[in-house]
Amino acid sequence: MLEILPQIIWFSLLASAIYALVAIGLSLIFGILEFINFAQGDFAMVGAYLFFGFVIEGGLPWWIGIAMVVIVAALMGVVIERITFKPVRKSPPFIPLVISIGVGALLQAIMIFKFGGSVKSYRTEGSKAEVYKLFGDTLSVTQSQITLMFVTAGLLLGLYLFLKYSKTGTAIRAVADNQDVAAILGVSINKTIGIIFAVGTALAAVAGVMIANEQNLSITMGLSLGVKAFAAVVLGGVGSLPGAIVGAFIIGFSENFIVGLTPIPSSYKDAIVFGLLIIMLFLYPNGLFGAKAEEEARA
Amino acid sequence: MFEIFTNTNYLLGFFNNVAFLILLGLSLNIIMGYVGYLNLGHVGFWAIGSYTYTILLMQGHDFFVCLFAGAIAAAIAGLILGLPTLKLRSHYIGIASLGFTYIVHSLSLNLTDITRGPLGIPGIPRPTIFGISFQPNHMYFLLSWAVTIVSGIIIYRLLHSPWGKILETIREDQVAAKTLGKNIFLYKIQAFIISAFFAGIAAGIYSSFYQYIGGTNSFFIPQLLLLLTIVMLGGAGSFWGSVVGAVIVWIMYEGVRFLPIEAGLVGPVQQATYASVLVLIMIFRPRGIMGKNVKILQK
Repeated sequence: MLEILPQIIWFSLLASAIYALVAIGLSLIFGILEFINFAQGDFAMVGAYLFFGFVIEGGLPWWIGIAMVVIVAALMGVVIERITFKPVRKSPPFIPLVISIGVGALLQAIMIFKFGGSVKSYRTEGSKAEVYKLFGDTLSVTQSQITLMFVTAGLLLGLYLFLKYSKTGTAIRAVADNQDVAAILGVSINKTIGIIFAVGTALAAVAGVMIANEQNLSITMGLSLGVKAFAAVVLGGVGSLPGAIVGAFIIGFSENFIVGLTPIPSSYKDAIVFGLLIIMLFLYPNGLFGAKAEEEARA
Repeated sequence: MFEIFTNTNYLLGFFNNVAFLILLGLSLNIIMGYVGYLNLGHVGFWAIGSYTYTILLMQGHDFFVCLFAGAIAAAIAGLILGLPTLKLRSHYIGIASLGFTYIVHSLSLNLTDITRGPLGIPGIPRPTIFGISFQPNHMYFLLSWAVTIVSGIIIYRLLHSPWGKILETIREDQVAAKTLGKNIFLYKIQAFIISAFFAGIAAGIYSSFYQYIGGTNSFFIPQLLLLLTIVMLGGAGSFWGSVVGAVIVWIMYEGVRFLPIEAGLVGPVQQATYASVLVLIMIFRPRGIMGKNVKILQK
């Protein structure tokens, strides 16, 4: 039992990092526009396929590929926001929520046109991943996993500094706190929301690349990612970015520990997480850390 | 290519599809339009109804027993999903019920002893009632429309009864309904159970019509999108809206087959079509074609 522990912890860390990236985008959008973006998981799916297009099919080096994914995804986020969510900004949350389901399904259809519906993989025939063995062979870690962990840590740190110290970041926090007051003080609401969508979509796209690096690419891969990210957001307390990260770690660790240490087959992993989510929404609709969202959640 | 419209079997198939889609739309509309909650778990009820009906029918039980058993199974699922989630706000129910659909889908693929997993269950018979075989398409057409019309009348009567009026009152003004001494939660959970029940009935006529259920792509996002588009296009909160929505959505679905595109792209084009319709209707006319201006769609 103990000898598989390092491996489980490493997998948990990887999963947590991925969920955190998606959850932050979700939390940013929820914090300001007050609707759940169901397309967030599909943004990740698009990111995974873009990387496939640029690097595996296009032959670009991976770091240019990542940069391209970030740029294209950010643009996509802005365009989607302008076309679909901006016209309904003053509507009740029900409407942008249903729209986001439509947007997600549309993105799936577009990706099938471009890449076909079959399951794909980043691993090409004959290529061998560099594997490091640690703790007396109980832990194997691939080169790409380490790279991606650094990329995630860098992105999270960058986001923190951006929100905390940059002028735009301050504007984002101001808009999240009180849109009307921020507008009076001369913050451009449209620009700020556009930036939030750009950041949120780009983070999700990177997460998509990470998950596709570990598993395979499929058109519906975004769904479970989106629901888990939402679970992370609720766990950490809606609207709190550090909370979303903590929530992502709780989900990442619990799903891997449940599958690693119990006889439950891994194909039930997602079903278990969603079952826990439903129970958790019932018991703690305000998350584990905040009471602020209580009125938010209860009708 | 137009000779297909004089092909009786094609037309019978078309209207058979419309029959169970109307019933699925009507039943989902009870929750979305009359209670005002975004229920993304309806596909899960559909799946549970279908598997229960099919498995019992294949064991040689009577048609009406199977149809009823499928509906009861779906209704119990409605109770199980409704109990923990109905006190939450609409978008929380949205995510919890999406999780429910995912769990049911995941179970249908993994419980291979019962569902045959991704292989699905082929060879589902059409019933023989009082010695009359409903195997031929035209006979089955009569049966499925009879079931749909009877169920539709029951739903119509329910929604226009005092019970339905109270549901509408709760949707429009929860506090007022409470002041009148109504047990809000009880009404909501009843609505959830009834909605799931009729999804189960529709599931029965669906299963025997196609004579096959299951597979990796069934009871999942494409079907979810289809039902959501039916209700929102027709108009949430309008009985006839769901009927009109089902007809229009199925015309669009079948219409894509006549486009000059490769066979492999028909599915994604269909998905893109109703995803776009859903997004456009939510932006430009959120009340749908026939809908009233219900509270969930107002400011």
